[in-house]
Amino acid sequence: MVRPRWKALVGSLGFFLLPLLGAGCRQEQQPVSRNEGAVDPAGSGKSVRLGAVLSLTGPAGTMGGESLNGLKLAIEDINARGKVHLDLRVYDDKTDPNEAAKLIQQVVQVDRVQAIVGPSTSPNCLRTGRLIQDLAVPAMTPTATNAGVTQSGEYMSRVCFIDPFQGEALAQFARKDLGFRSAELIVDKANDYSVGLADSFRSTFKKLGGEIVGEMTYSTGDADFAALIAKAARSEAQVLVIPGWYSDVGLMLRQAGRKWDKFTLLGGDAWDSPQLFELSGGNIHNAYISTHYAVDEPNPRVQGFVNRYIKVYKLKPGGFAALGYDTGLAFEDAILRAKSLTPAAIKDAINSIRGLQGVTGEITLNSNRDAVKPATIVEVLPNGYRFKTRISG
Amino acid sequence: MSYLLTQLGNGLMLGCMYGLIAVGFSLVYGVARLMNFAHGEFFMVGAYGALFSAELPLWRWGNGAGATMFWTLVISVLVSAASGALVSVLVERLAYRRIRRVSRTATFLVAVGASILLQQIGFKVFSASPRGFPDVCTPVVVAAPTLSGWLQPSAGLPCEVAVTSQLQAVALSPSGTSAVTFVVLAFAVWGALFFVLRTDTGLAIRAVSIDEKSARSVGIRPQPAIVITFAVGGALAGIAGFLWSLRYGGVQPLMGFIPGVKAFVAAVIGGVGSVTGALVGGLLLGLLETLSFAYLPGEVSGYRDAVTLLLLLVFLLIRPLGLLGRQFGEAA
Repeated sequence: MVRPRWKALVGSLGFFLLPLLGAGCRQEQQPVSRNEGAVDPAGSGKSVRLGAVLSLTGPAGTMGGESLNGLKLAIEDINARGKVHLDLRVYDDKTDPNEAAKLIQQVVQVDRVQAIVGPSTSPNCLRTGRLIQDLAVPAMTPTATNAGVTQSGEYMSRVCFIDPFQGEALAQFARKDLGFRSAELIVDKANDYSVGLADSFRSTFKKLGGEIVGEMTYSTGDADFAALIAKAARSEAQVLVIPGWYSDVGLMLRQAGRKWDKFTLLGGDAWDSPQLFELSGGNIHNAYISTHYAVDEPNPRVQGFVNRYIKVYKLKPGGFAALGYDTGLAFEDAILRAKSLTPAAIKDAINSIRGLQGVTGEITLNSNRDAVKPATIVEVLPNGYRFKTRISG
Repeated sequence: MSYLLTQLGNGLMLGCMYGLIAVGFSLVYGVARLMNFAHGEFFMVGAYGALFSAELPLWRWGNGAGATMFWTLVISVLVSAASGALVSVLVERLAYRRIRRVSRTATFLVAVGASILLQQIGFKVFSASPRGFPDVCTPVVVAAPTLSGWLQPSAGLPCEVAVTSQLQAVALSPSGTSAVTFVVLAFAVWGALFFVLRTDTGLAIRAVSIDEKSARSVGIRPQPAIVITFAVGGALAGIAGFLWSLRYGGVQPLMGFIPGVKAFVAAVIGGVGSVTGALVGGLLLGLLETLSFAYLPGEVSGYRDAVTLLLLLVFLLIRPLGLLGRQFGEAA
């Protein structure tokens, strides 16, 4: 009796473990865009291997996907200009911090990239910051806005503004532009981004004479918001502030139906996703978010980017697409000025980016390696965005 | 008062869904003596089955919006039940059957493995990005001018659908989806109870779950009973997956994990192995979660899972076998 039992045990376990391992290996390596054509057509350009570790799927999937689209467009332009040649490899961390850490290790130690674009989200950056510092490879995140992201050391930088500033901008907009006195916060307690943004909104809103009448929390991935919606509907607040990811907010808005019509809703840049409209079923009323640029800004630099993006991807570019494009520009600028092409030299050049003209505004990295630039407030319509105002620090 | 009623309704709905998942979980445990941790994944597969069937252009069938909605619902229920049952039976055949008699620990590990495997397959096949569930009531809503702002017409859906009387009223109210969900839930629960308590097959299943050896001695073969139980449990989980995504609006590969755990809890509260117990346990859990969120202050209410599970712990200290549980013979 013992033998067949063991056979059964091994057989069953093997049945599950083998495909698991197989699936894991297959999904990790997805070099989408490799060095196409000749390595260096002009022969004089500086060639750098770039690894993009982004959240292409999962609850923040469109964040990474859009920024990757923007990045690819930038790399096309940069390689066409010929002074710098960027060889891009793409990896998907599935919005999972541990997966991101695994991939960072792999791209540096196995695939030998000289610089990293990413990770996409604040939790993933916070998880991998120390690792990136230890591996001594410069990483620039296009989209992670939590204040702590660049605290891990000089190898981590970003082209976006930070949440303390974003929260201030939102609070200013709510208090001064809209004239509201009372707000209720609905925070994703499992997400550093959401908690950080809520903190800075709260303190600025109070400083400006506003009142926080209540706070509620949920967790990333929750599906049932019925109790939360009914509870919030009883709030005295004029504005509901929901600094969460589009994947949760979308479901929340759909389930809210018309129960939240008396409120104005405010969100952060994590709402900025085409999926928000699918998940919410277009059920979005009186909502504003702070984000990185507005697709309908009359600025010729912006419109040039928007038109090209639409031509290539047949989609309107969101804020993260614009940030992805600017990340590409930032790497070009840094590599042109870098004394050599070692990771350390590239890092020094990145950290001295000053006044770079990007789609999302003028990018200057401060001593914390955070980009200093204004936030754009857009109104969220049932199927798109409309430029509202711009708020500087 | 109306706030209390609203939240009671929310809790009831959530509880019914937990109950529906828990019934399948409990049935399977009773018959196969197996903590089926992949049960939540059957739920996920059912939700995807319903998503794909609801996206088919079925609105071309039938005359008028009411009929359209009705057929879309019927087909979604059937497809979700079928896909849940199919994957459930497959997992039983490929994994559990070989290992069932080896050891408890091994079956436990295989169940956890099956759960993770199905999630990973979900990532691969459906992608990890969440999908919005189509509102199967949309054609009706779009046709009503007074509510045109409630939901923007989705591309591809006909705006000229004729509106018919009674069903329209249900579908037009924002709680239309809730009403539909509740009716289907009630039918599924009733069907499950009827099957287990009132049919010969149900009797055989209960006999196997009480004492496999004695059941065998009166001519009941346990293996077919187990397969049927897995099919029924999977179908119930699949239907729950459909209703869940209809009500809460989203579908994604990890969606089954938390409801699966909750169903496990509900089954334990009710007494594992007892069908009515699982149902009662689910209802209790849903009400408890919703009401604790509704009435606790904001700083605590977000931790409703912790609050609920703490209560469960206390409850189990007082009644280790659950509400309607009974001692199982270990010999089975």
